[in-house]
Amino acid sequence: MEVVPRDSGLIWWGFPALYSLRFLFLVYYIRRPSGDLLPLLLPQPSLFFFFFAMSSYAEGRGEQEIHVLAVDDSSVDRALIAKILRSSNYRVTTVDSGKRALELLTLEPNISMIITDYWMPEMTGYELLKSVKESSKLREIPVVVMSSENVPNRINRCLEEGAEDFLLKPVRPSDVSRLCSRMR
Amino acid sequence: MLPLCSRVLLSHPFSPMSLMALREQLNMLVNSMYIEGLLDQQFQQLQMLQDASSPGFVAEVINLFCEDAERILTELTKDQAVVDFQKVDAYVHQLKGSSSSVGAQNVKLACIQFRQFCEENNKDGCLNALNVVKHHYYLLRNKFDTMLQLEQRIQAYDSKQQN
Repeated sequence: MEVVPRDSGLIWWGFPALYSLRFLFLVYYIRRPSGDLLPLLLPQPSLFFFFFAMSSYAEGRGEQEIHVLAVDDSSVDRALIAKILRSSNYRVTTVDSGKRALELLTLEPNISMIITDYWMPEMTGYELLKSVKESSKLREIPVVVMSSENVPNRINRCLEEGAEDFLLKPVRPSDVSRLCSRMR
Repeated sequence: MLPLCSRVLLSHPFSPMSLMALREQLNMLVNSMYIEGLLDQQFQQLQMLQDASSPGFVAEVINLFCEDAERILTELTKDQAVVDFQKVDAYVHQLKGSSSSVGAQNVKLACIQFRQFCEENNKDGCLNALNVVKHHYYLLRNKFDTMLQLEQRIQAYDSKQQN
């Protein structure tokens, strides 16, 4: 048995559909004892690179899910903000305290935005905002503060501390839609 | 107040009312709640958020509100001999927030009054205000119960029609 070096013209005459893949395969022939040629398709090293590139391309083009973290001690408000955000096709996780929010932030790497209530027992939204902005890992995440009270001092303090926006409750879909451009 | 014929119909839960009649009854109930000030614009926002993908959204929010409100009212009713104004104010603030989010206008306004009395450290005013809040809340809850029952009957009718 001998190996005959590649002769792409001969093989593709037999398989015209494979002509476009000619750069991806090496073609050798093995001459059988009976005399006829048996084609041998060996993948080119470039084929592996090709598949790798294709899979990276597909991954990059996949939908980047926007994941919002909503923090509120009121179950009614959590249900409301979650519904408004989900209606805009955002993925939402709700927690009931600043402490749980910080715990989740250490585990979840890809939070696009934090929306938090101001008045919460134990840790206020302002304190949560400060913690986020003081953390080198988390400070890039935009934080929006919500409150049922229109207190200009409070609003200014939050904005000065780095809050992206301040929403008055009850929150409406129109309030949330103007936030979408600020998501990370 | 609902007209007499509706009250009679409501008291016979097994009367075979048509789907259209049920829907009309529900609409009349909700409209009367708006007119009487039990509900405000925010409730409309909730209704608009409910869609095919979440047909139970309004019911869910109503149930969460009622659970929350009853928990708070129970706490406020305890220990009426000594009034810790700060603690009471915190509870009323919570109730005001959830009633505002659900569109429970009368309850919300009663809570705002209540907080005034807390700020003034007025014990009698607070006790009175608590009764007013309870009155408005239980009135609202009765109507919510009727509303949810009607909705359930309508949905049952709809799914029966489909089968």
